[in-house]
Amino acid sequence: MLIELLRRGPSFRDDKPAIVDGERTLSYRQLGDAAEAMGQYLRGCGLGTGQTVATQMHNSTASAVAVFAAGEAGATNLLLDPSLKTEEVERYCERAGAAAIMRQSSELDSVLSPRLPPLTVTPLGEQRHTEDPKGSEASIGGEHCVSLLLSSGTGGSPKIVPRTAPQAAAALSIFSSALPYYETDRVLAALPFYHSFGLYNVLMATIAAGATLHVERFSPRETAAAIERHRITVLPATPFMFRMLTETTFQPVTDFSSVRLAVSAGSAMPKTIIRGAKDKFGIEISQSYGTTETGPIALAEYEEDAGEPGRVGALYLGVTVEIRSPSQDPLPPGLEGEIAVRSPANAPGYLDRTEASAASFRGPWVLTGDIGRMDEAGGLFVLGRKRPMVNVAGKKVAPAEVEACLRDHPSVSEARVLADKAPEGGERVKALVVPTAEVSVRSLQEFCLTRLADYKVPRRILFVKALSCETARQRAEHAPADKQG
Amino acid sequence: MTSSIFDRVTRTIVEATGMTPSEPLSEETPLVGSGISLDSVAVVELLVGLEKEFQIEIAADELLEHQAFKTVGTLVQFIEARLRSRG
Repeated sequence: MLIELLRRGPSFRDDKPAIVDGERTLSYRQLGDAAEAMGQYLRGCGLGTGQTVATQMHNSTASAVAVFAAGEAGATNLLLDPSLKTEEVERYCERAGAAAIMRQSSELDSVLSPRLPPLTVTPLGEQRHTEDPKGSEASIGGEHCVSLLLSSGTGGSPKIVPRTAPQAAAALSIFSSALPYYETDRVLAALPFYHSFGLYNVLMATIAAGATLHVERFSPRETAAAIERHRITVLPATPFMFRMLTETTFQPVTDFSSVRLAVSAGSAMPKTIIRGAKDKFGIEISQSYGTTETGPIALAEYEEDAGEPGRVGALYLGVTVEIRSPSQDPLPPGLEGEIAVRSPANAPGYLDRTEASAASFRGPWVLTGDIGRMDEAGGLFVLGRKRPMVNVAGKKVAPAEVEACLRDHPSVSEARVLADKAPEGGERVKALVVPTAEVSVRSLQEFCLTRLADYKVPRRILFVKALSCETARQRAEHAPADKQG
Repeated sequence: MTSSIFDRVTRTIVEATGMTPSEPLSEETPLVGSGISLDSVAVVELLVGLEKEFQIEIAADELLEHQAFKTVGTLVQFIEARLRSRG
């Protein structure tokens, strides 16, 4: 399906730039050629239909080629964060039944030659290739899945969220019918392709529209300069990125006048940032609320006064929400409960966690784990979370995963991980640890760093004698909703 | 001069990133990989925090090129050099 987006797009085979990444520009013709050549190469390696191929890359021309090449080969694509550590990558690849992993080749120039694969393909062990057909097929109920994304959203440890072609197409079209991109657009790709918003609503939406994608690793000064230089028209970013942009002093102020659409995804957007961005850059930020499991749910278009706290806007067309009581009864407007979503973009379940699947996927409904309410006019409010989760600048951290890592340390008997609220908004990972022997914060952090992606490592570790009921209660109540995109 | 910039840098590290180091930061404390764990989010927070604290402009590439994020000491030296060149 992903490759069809490219083929059916208005710019397919054109010499128009599809992706601009620093000095490197890939036209639609080159992107199509490279994806086909790479797709053939993958099939030649036995990585075609029925196989899962992982990619672990920062946004780049090569990572876009890799995503489309997996589609061309007919394989399922597991998209992984490049900051994940070897142990994590191995774990997720094994769970997804990935037969190989694609990474950025040091031979960057090969991207421009359709004969050479622009990427390094590393097989992940023979036995995984053949042994477990259930795992390696990446199918749910016999349906082929095109993409696999990690989610830490609904509690517990990270889970793998599959999408079939129609579900992926819906994740794209639900958003695009509300906020369409056009052929003339220049879209900033600062959100990573391994996140659902970055994959469906940045990469896929841009290519399907025949627009041009500008790849940028985020840092405020460079990103602002790129927005001005490339006359960016569509600016999707996390609240963290918008905050960093508004907190940086530019002299003279960078020209954002080309931006016709600024949209935030990844976490809850504080009003102060919306106002700050309007005052400083003249941009009017809309917020898209969604989850990896459901795709886009609600859209709050820019308003001078963004309304009551927690308001995430009106539902996207095609999406239905029910507010559920603990006994799963639908609640009337005004009452708080868990947000349940019915959408054509809903994933069919978690790939390999049947218990977790049963808890979150109920028939056509997904229980998001977010607590909220609807108002009489159909506006959705997100007010908290049912289960703990830490949102670090849009990257979700599952406390259970970090707690398990800390408990593996020989000097730790118990650990509890919670969100440390930054005064200016945003969350960081904090841990309460019950030590069994003398151990330093630094050595615990170093231990975690060998096993966990850097952003999951607790920035603050407090030693306690025991984990009290009070902490358990705090944890249960800790967070306002911070899960989007 | 050096000590006050050192103090301001270490204070900015703690305030901008929400770290609480178990032992006082020294010039030798490594900034990335060990010591205090600066992930990519923390690097951006620190960058913006240092710009605000010292009223200077820092390009992200510049920090990497000068290996300014190697230790607290190299970061202090980088900031001192920037303040000098600004006059």
